[in-house]
Amino acid sequence: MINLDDVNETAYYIPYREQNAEPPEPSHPLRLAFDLPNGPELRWNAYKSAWVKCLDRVQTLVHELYEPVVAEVVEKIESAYNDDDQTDFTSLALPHFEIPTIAVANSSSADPYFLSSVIFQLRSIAHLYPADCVNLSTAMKSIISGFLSTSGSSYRSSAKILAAYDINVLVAWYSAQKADTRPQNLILLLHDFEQFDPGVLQDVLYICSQHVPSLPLVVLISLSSPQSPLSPQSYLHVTYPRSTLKLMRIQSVIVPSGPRVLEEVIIKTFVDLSSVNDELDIVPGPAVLEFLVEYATRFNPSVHALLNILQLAHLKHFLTNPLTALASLVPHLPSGINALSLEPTLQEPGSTEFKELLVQRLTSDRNDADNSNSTSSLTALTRAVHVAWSQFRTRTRSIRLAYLLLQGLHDFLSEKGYKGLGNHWGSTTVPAFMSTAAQTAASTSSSRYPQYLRLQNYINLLQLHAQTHSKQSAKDITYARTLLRKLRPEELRAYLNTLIPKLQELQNELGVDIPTGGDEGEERSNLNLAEVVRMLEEWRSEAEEVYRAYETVETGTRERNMNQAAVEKFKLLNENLAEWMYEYLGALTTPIESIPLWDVCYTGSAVFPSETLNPSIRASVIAGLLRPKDFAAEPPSRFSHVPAGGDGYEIAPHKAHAGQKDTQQDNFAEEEIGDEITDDSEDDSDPLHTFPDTSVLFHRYLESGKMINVYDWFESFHTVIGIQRRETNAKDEVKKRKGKAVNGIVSPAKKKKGKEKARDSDLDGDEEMKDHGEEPPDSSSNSEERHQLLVQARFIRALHELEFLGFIKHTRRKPDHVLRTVFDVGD
Amino acid sequence: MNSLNEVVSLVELFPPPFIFINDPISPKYTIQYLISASEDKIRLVHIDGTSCFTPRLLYDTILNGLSQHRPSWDEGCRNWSQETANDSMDSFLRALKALYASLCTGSSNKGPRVALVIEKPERLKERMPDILAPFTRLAELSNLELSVVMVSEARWEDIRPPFGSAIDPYYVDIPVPTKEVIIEHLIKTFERCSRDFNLGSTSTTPHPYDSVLLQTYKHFIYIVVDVCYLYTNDPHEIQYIAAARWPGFINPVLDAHSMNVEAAEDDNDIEFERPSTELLLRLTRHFKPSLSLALEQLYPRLTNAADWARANESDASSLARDGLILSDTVMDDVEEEEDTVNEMLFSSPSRPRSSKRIQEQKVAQDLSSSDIKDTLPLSVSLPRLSQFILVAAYIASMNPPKTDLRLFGRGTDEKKRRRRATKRQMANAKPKSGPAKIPQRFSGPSPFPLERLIAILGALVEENDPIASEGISSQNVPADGLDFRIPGERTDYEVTRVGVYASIAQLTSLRLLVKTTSSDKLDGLSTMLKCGSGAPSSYETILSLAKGLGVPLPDLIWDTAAMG
Repeated sequence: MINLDDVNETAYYIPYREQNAEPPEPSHPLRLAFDLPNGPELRWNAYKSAWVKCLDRVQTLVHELYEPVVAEVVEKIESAYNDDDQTDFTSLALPHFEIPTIAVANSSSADPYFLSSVIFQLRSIAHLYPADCVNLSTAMKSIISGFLSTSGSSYRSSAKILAAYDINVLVAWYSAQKADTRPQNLILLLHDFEQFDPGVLQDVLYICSQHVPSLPLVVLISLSSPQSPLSPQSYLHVTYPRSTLKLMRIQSVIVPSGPRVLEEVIIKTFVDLSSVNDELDIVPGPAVLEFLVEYATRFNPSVHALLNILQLAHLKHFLTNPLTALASLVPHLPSGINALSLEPTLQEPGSTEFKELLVQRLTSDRNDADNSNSTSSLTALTRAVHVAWSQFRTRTRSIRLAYLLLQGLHDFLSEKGYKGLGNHWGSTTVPAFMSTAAQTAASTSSSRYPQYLRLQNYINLLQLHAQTHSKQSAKDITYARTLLRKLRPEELRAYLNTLIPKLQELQNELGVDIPTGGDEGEERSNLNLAEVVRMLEEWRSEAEEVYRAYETVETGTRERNMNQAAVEKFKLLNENLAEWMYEYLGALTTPIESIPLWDVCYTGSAVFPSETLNPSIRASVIAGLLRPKDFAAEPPSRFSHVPAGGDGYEIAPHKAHAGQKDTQQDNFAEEEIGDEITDDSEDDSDPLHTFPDTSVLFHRYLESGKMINVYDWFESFHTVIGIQRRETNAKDEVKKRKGKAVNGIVSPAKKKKGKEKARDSDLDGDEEMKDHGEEPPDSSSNSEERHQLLVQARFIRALHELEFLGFIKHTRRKPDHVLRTVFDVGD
Repeated sequence: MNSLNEVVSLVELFPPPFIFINDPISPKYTIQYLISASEDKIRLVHIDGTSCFTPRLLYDTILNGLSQHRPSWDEGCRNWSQETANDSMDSFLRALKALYASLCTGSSNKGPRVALVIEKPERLKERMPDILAPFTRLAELSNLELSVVMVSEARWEDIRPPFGSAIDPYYVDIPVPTKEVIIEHLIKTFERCSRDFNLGSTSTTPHPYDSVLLQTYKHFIYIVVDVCYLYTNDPHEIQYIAAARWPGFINPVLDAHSMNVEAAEDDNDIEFERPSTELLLRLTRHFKPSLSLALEQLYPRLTNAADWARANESDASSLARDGLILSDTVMDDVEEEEDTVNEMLFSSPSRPRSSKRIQEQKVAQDLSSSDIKDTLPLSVSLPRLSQFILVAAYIASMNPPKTDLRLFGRGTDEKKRRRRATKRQMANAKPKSGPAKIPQRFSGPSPFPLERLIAILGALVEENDPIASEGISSQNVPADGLDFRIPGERTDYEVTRVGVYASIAQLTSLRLLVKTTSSDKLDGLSTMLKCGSGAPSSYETILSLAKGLGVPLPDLIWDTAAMG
């Protein structure tokens, strides 16, 4: 027991003890309606395998992007001291030897994989971190010990030998290494270069420069800035003086990053058909992709952000839909976990709900009566699931194929110097050396949607049939038909020549056909690739003929009639191709949502939980203070278990009465969300005195002016507490009258009331407080005094809480006033 | 350099205890000259004020240097002195005497002349202010005949320890190097290179530092010095530029020679001759424009000499245009191009042609040199919100806080706001008394609190970012179903997202924003930031960023006139 009256103590620590705490329920928040008995587990497994696969794919792609840059860095480091002749002539006459320095832009912010794979290929690296560089001695010491440790040696200084921070130690160590085992060069890796103290680092570089090339140092700088380290405005040139820069021979390398890289990774992961035989389990829908695009454009185009978003999307998908358990049940899903098959699971008694849902979904999505008998038996049901599954796969593939066809057409046309499908499909005609300038121009001219054009087009295709979105894709497809009609003979031939190999390649890779499956009721209405290719090849030979005919037109003028026929034929051919393409694209872009059970593997237009990833802090804090009960409220499912017993009659007819019981609160939660509660008791919200202390203070805070007089604040708080006290007393008396039967049930109101918790932790004992609280206010002066103290303590605590949250600021001029820092938007 | 020779002779004959050499241009060059001039006459130890950052390092360096002792790893990096010599001035002096005694060998019992050359003594003063005065009196304290020579960019008056504790030095002022001195230095460099190269290789093929080419090199040097002398007169800097350009300059001559040798095949006796005057003039005309380019890029070290030389190798066609490719075989290849050049020559007067040629050359150089190609502007490399934050930070840095409400306040009372603003301008027009106010752009960015940045960001986003304020996509509807009826409420919601703070932190780690308050302080004043130096504080950069975002930056800068 802590003696609070001990005058010798200046501070007390009162450990928090939760009162009335129920034993924590075994956490089953993942349990959903219609779930299988082991649903959460199944879905968790499915999530894991799906996510690992997606993560692997993204990381592999990113690493592939890094590989050439890693090789470049390593090559530059290794050749730092054995240059070719040309450089030799140049460096021969230089006034002093320069430290070979490789500045890698973007490396700190890129995946750590980049640096680690560079390090992996090199030996004798000393790492220098900004924290080591507090002063010159520690910096030199850590560099020297870093290099020494690469050969397993260490150095302990004493008075008669060199100091541990003397670079001559390193020189002596290096020259003592055996010629064959001696490292070719010593690499000094400066991590997080921007965080170094330039003053210290300047001296470090100066000292190192005094000893090259006898000590073959190579400095590897890891910059986080995306800019080239060699531009006049780069961090290096702005921060370090010329005297330091001239000690180094800086070569710059830029790690690819930013929007282009991200888009490439996403397209390759989710859109390209090259990896079609190793499909990802989850197909992200337009909502997720759109959020991804927006987040990357506005906030952070890094690979980390991409992975975070995708992981969240996976998690949410498997958490909210009971049907996703199927992903780990259906045997031929490529999820890897096939331990359980569908049939035995469905036979279990606990899974009837799930089965019903499944049957219902299969029949309703299919939307015809014939199949109802097919879902009656278990085997038929399993079969139906399998069919739906394979239909889903082909459907996702066909949408991707549609996108690739359109993109291919656009690329072909823009290569020929046309506008293609329009600027929103990107312009590929920019010469390579102009690319940066063109990028700049593009981003400055239309910075609103400058990036992720290709991805945006794919998203549009996914949403082709959604009502709410623009019909850009439909327009594009129609326009593609128009363009195809207008092709000239040689272009037609060239187009077919580019298109056919692509499709053949795809066909070989797939090994199976791509059915469109668009027709209702029919399982597979095949419009398979082989047939498409056959037809296209026929056309190609026709196009060849026509082309030759046209050639003769240009060379000579004989046989007019035949030319006329050729023209006719060509027109027909063009028309055929255009119409076919139009219809084919139309068939390919049937929405994924029309497949039964589409939501097992497709996130569709489910809203991405963006608030989880990127919440608005201030708004949340203010909302929490204004409506604390919305946040502390227990989930509605548990309310149903609370017996209405003691609370029912307390829902008072008039609003001033304590009315924050469960039922009313539910109503409140529905009605009040979105409204600003700036006042208590005026509207139908909870009266102020039922709020926690901090919240009470905050309500008063919002009503005040720029500066708040603390004493006035306290007075108003006191009034509220007074009401609160009377309420409690009145309630207790009611309780006493009602007898022990009511008190037997633990009141849920008591559990979640913040004010009581606040009180509990203010005093060191629950009973003690209760005793005083139950006494009538004017029973004794002692109790009144205690109450005053209590109010004061609660006020101070709440005040400090607000201060900690950053809502108030003190001024030196007026000690009894505090400054308000947050003003309502409505003010 | 006469004065330096005098110094050397002085130290050799009658060493003054303390010499102070002030060379404001190139102390490094002076020291190198001093060391090479006093070789084998004086035992000289070169001490660097930056490298010797503790007294212990200083003492060790001097003693090991004087005794010419190289600590070896196998002996555990033992110092020269057996005693502990590096813990105080006293022990150092004792060791110094012992060392000098050990140097005194032979019958005369007279040691060599000893001198300590201290580079950057101003750094010693910063780090060990107590040690400078004893060092000026080292001869007196150690009772030895040695002299201490300090070479500094600074003047002795600025370094001198207080209270007259140091003795007055023998002053030497090094004049600004004249063209002649620089040329002499460069020719020496050439000779050294030619010597080194001949030692290193046995091949007979001529190389850029072939001694035959000395006259050509002299001619080249005159041009280089002519171009550069206006901007720098540090011999080392001009040497750097010359080193970068010379191999490329002489390359056509070498190529022509090797082709001749090839053509002659059996006859190996073709002498490598120095190029004729006419050829020299052609070379000069061809390469002179690239010299000023070299100065622009190499002097601020925007690239390094080796890379620059590689990037600025002349291609065959431009060489042929100037008649610099002498062999017939190559002439055939470029004949076509020659024709076009000739046509150009006939059709246009010579003057525009040459300027056009220079332009073409410049374009080619711009495209080929890697640094320019790699430079990504901020507008491409940063996400959209970070761009907004940078613009907001610039505005917050450049505007006084009291103008924020006037520039961004959008109340119902538009009229009132305007009136106030005009009134203020009229008041400004009146001549003011008191010290003139320095325009913000000259005093650099001023720090601002984080809250102000967020507020300005909110105002910018509200008016210029349709995505945030309209909420086009369904994603913008928060999960908890808040809808925003009050204008600006959504923006307020948007700019207090975690992502915004993360972006600010990210920009701080890139040093595009600089945090001026320490990070471990939680309470008290709020976090202060300011624009980083360089790009984020330059009006042009921010203006281009703002243009891309559609922000009318000039209207949002209070003191637009001062921005220029």
